[in-house]
Amino acid sequence: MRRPGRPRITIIVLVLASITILTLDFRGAGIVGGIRDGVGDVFGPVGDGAQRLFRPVTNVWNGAFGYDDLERENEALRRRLEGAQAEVAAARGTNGEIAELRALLKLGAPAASLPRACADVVDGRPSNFDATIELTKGSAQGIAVGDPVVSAFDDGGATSAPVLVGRVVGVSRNRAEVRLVTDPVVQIGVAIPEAGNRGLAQGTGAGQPLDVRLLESDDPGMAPGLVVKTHGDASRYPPDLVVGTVSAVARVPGAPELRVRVQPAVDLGRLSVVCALQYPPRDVTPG
Amino acid sequence: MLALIARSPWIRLVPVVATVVVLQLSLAATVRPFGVTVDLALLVAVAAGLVAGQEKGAIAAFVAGLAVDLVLSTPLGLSALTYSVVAYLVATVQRGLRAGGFPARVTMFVASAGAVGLWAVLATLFGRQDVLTSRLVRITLVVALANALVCRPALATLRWVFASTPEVSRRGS
Repeated sequence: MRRPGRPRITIIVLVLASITILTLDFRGAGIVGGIRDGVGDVFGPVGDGAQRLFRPVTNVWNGAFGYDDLERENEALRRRLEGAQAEVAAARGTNGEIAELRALLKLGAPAASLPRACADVVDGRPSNFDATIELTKGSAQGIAVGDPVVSAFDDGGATSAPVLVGRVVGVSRNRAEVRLVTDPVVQIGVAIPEAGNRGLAQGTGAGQPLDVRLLESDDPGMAPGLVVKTHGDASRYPPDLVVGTVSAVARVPGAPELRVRVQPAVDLGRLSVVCALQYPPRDVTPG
Repeated sequence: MLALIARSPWIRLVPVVATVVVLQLSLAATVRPFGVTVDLALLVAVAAGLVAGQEKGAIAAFVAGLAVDLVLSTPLGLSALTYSVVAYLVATVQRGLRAGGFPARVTMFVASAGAVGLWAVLATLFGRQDVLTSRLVRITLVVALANALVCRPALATLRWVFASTPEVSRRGS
């Protein structure tokens, strides 16, 4: 006959086991990371295969419930593309001048010259509270923890500039986990060249703009629309990666500081291909 | 010997949990009602509590929670903790009620909603600062509603898993 207190003992043991696992994970214990990487390497490709299998179901669902959203998004993207093409035409002539000035002033290597490994972003969001995205490449292709991740761009930067998306926080042989810039634990040293100011940007959550604390807190030149880039000094990110644009400037009540919000330059919820940059450069050829 | 293993609920639980993990990574990740991802592991956890009782239900919920924690970027062990506690409470409440208890769908809805809230609170305690937002209300409602809608196949599956156990036998499944 079962002891009446046994279920209670069982749940206590399970709770203690869970807390132990949480603590080990929080402290970055190697065995926990190793097990997680191994499981991810097994179930990652299986999940991809299952996604391909269920694609007809997904298409029917999105067609039935997402068609209007897609139409609106398509129209908005068409308008943005027309504007971007005009900007690119204007910027094309200045890129060569910038490269020459960089060489003359011995400035840090721009992102376009860094070795990079580009990978597909695993489709879908398997969790409501994921602050990360998963890539279909990992250490076997030269990706390492700490690598900054940018949106896909071409080498000349003529048609698209690299936009900072996040940083690699976990990597297994064939998968990499990227923490997005909107995660509250992420902090980025930024510069706002047109205002001549610098600061620290911090994420405030998925889909939310970043908060920027300025070095010069009372800056009359700060205004919506200014481009925000990484400043690269003593930073884990190379310089001149676009972070976003200033979306709001407000004065903090009762204080001299300005509260600056920055809208990421890309839709972090709809990434399909990104590139992990080797920064600082390593002696590993990325795949 | 093989027949004995095949009758073991823990052996039967393995393919169920593996299937749930694959479905969570594929179908649930892309078919998202109102922009919310349904939680299949939570569905299994609450169903286990309803079907298998306090002890076995909590263990099955722990396994399901740990399995999804291993493939997601959420804190490892958090879902295991939340789901095992919720399964235990569900089984305890069901046991304390008179025969029949609440309808399964109602229990599934309430337990799922409670589990999402508990998970969010625990995640915040363990350092996640972006979980307790207004979006949590929509997530809670959609996850609870989705689980309530599909609870019958989940209950049937868990009854098959725990078919040879006294708790299921007593309930005359």
